[in-house]
Amino acid sequence: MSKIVSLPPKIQSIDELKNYLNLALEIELSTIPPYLVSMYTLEPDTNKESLEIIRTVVVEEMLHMLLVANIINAIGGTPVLNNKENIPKYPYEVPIKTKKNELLKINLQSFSREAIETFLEIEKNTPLDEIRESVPRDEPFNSIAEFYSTILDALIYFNNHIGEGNFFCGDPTKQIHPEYYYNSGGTSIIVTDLESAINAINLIIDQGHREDESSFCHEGPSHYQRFFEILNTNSEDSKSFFGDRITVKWDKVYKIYTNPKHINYKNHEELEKKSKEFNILYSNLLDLIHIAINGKPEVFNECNIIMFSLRNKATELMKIPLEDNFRAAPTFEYIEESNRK
Amino acid sequence: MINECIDVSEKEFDVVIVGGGIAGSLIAKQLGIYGKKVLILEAGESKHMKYLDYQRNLDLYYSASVKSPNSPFSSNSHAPQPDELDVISKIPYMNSKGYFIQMGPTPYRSDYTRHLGGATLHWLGTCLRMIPDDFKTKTKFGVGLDWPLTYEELRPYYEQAEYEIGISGEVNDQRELGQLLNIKEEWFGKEYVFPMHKIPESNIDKYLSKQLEGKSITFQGHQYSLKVTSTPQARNGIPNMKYRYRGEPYKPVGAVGNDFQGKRCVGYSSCVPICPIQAKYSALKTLDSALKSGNVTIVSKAVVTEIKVDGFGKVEKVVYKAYTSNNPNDFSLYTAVGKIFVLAANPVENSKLMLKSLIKNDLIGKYLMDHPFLLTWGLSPQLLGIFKGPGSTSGIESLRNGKFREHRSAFRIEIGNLGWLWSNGAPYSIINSLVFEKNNSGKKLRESTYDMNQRQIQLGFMLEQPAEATNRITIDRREKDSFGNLRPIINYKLSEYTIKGMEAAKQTASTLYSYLGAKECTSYTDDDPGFIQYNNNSYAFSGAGHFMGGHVMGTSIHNSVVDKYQKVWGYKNLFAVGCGSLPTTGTANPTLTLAALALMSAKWINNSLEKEKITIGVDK
Repeated sequence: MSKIVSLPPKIQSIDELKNYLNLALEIELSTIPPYLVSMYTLEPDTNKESLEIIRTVVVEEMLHMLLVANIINAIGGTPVLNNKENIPKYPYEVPIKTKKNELLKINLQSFSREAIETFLEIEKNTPLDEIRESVPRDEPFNSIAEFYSTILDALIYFNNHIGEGNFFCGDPTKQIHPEYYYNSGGTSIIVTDLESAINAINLIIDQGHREDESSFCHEGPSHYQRFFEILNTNSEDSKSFFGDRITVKWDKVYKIYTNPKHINYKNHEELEKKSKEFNILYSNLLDLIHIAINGKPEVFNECNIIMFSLRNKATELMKIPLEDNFRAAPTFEYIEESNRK
Repeated sequence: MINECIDVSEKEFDVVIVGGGIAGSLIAKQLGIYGKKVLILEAGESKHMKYLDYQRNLDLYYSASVKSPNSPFSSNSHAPQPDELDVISKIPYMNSKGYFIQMGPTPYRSDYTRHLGGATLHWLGTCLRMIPDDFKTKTKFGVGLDWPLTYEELRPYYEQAEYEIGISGEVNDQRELGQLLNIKEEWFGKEYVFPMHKIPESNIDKYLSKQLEGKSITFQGHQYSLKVTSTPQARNGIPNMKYRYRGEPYKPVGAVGNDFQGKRCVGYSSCVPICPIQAKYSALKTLDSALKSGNVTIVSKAVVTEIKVDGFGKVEKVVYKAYTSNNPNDFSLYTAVGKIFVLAANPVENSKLMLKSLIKNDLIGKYLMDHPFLLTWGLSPQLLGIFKGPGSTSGIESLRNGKFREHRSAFRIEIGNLGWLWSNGAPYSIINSLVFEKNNSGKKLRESTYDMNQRQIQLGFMLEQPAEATNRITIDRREKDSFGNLRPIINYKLSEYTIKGMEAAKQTASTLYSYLGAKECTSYTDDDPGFIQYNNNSYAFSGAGHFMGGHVMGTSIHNSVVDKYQKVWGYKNLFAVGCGSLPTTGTANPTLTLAALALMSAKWINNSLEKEKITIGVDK
């Protein structure tokens, strides 16, 4: 706790820290539509184990969004989810470098080995000794763990530098309590000081990016380990999520065009209508979450209902056949409020 | 550790529990935490403790053409179970083709589940506390039996049970009800809240609340309110931040084997018979946490067939049949040894086992009870937004107590959220009749289906049934099934006291439908197995699934089988726990009460094991 850290080169001011935390919110959000789309493409009543495994990751990503929002609010920032600029578009480039020295690119695509490999890239861990203490300002991060580690250093630095009371000056009523969060995937952490902020960041890193047994506060396989099992069902290295070996049927999957766009549905009346309805729901949902994390946590109850509608709408879309055995799919595009009718 | 059909005769346990339902699992968990070595012998299967296998039960339910409480939980010839669908007639012989031999004169219409987790696998999850007067009906109303303990003694265990099960509810609604029921005792502690906030009231609950505001009904010159009260229930809701149990806030418990499911009820509406996400409590959750203590062993596919007692009233061991396949001869007989033995199977199985083992007490098997259930139904003039939420989220509870209990049964009224599903098989039956009788199709069919289903009201009246010695479970050593299992023989009759309660229930129903401006559609036909005529009126009752009695508790060996800690009179180390011990049914769904009693027994069992340790220490 009393670790002395210097100011990370990438985060020179509290405002920059707030921006980075909003970027964290965006990155967490960016993973959810690809996970959902891969789930939607599983044929009904097949690959139930994979579907459930991906779902468990999704609920934890939602928890991570909430934890990040709690940290932003705790230091008097504003978490933003109602602005087109903050909503991922696909393909989405995560500002993280992969091993191939390219930025990590996330697609909306069918459940496939390739998709799961991308998921593994998203959730991969970096061994502690590979996380750089100070990432130079003009270099990208090597991993999400490194990204969060930098944020953690900045939190500690400003806390030590200007004092806990001055730094954690946010309105405590904006914190999302466990009461308002759905519980699946863990319980929210109320952030009021450095200790709780560190716990929140550790929970995010721990749930997602662990490759080995070490764990601060989380039981069961990490996201990385869960996706690894889907790809390597019979491997000795796989940790079994359900306690039994699972089977994966890669061919029981609907084909969709990678990164579908609403604009390409223009000449299909029913499809265009449903796709727009889906995007309106998605946009309404993000706006409502924005309201919930900006002082009205009770709005989360409404969000739950929309999430179910979103799933139903996506299922309707997936039933629409396109040429060559392809199916329609939701495009997850944010529509400005003025264009929603 | 869970094992199937293994031999444990080489091991010695502190406590051997027969039956892995809610009573057995609660006791196992507590004793496991106290460091006692516990064995649970479960007659049925245990594989649904694994998440993916639980999901397979769900597939069984989806594919069943007739959906009964046991449709997800298949019958097992080594551990047979009754099925509601076994009762098809008023003629006892016709109802005896399943597991039970029904002697009548009226059929016993309930069933239970012989799988690990027991009947909590298919229950609705209603968790009402009994009211203090239910503990002294003999003294107060001159009816039935008195309990050997007071409500006050049991109250702390009710609180513990509400924690262990995980109850969502609004305590202030219960307090208000307490006033309507004229409860003088402290029913709920002053600072008490439930672990989770109440499950939101359904559309029909809200509609009824509004329509019945300020309304009442008069019986024998006394006015009784018809207020709607939210139901405390065993399903996950929003944790109440004010709640503390031993200083800790409440964390909802998710699905067994998948902590990412079931932390909130999301209204799948198939609670009975199976919650797809395990937001509804089942004993599997308690078993899962019992196993974490490292002190609890579960052996499934192990049917206990006999209790062996030495010449001094001390149980030495139980014999169990460990089967490996569905072949009648494919089993071995093993024994399990322990210091204390707890029978925690269904009242019928507990009674059967004690009768077969010649446990000395003339009252074993006697005082079998249920909550006879009178369904009524009507059509509202307006669309109600039903078929949403759990099976029931509110009730009219204000007729559960009153001076009328001197003459007739009290009842509670369960407000159904699923239309005429239970009474008429809606919505499927409605669609059938629209298509095949009224030749509807296309848009008209869609509209009529919606209209007919969305106006349905179903009010279920759950009646008190006093203990009567002639209602009983017996065995006959000649009556065995093809696997050699003794078949329970059931003698059962509703007394005039209960039928008079039914009469009052039906009057109340008519009053309610008229206050609601609804058309009452209830009609009972004489081909219904539960059909009864009384004072020129017709009724038909169903079972509530609430097996009670069989080893009732009391103050001495002359009036009961067990004492207030559920220890069998005359035996040093034998307990019979569960609903079988209840001397009265009251009008509360009984699981919460049996859970409270089990927790009280667990504490007592632990104390007596501790004392034994001290005694041994002194001897040395």
